[in-house]
Amino acid sequence: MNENITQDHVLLLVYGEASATDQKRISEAMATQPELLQYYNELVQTRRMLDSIHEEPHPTSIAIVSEHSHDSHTEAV
Amino acid sequence: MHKEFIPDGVLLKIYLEGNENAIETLVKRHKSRIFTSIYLMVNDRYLAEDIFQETFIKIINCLRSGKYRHEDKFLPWALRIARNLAIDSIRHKGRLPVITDSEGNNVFDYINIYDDSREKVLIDKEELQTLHGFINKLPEEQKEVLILRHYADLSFKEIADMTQTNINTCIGRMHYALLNLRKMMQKIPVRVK
Repeated sequence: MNENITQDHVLLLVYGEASATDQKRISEAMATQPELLQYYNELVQTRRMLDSIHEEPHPTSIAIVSEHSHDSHTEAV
Repeated sequence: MHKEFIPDGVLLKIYLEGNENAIETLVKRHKSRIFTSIYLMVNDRYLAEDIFQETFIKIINCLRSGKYRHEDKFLPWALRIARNLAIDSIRHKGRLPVITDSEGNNVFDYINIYDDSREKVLIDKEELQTLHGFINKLPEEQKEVLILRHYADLSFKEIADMTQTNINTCIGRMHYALLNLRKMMQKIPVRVK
């Protein structure tokens, strides 16, 4: 029986944190409970939207970190 | 040719043995997750750049001084440092100058735009700003879990450890963060490409 499957389980599934056993239970529950399936679809859609935010540091920041690493190595030697 | 994946722990070890390239590999591997998380926490690109640099400088200093505990996983450790710096910066943010252009936009918002046409960037930027705005409207605890789970890719367990809460609290906060975002999106839709 999958009557104990909640939205929290679906959230864990969408974020890849459900165990193999739970994945099966959640999938079975979604097949019979439309509200869980709807929640799953909404989460997937929201995840996709959030994925559109992707920021990168400026190359200068990377260069400063590399320089610091090099300097601290030189000092240590 | 397929490059062999070297785990973070091994990279840290060989860095401590004197291989300078190892830290660059770690920075390149995690820079987007860490920078995006910082940026969303402080909502200021200039400040995010500073915190990003300071995070890695602290990491390097910690490694050099032998204070790194090898049982710590690198990414949660790095994000803990970044988060603490972000919290400190937010407290002092009012003292920092923001450099704006003639239209009042933060000039550092343009820094990492390289490839797209100006028209496309402006359209994308408008939508991204709307999304940023939604995330910033979330209650602080929900926003934090959303950033750490979605953008930093930490597990709920790792977030619970970092924020000194329990997993169920983190899952609950994430649930409500996503629910609130959806409510805001229904009022002002964001186009998903």
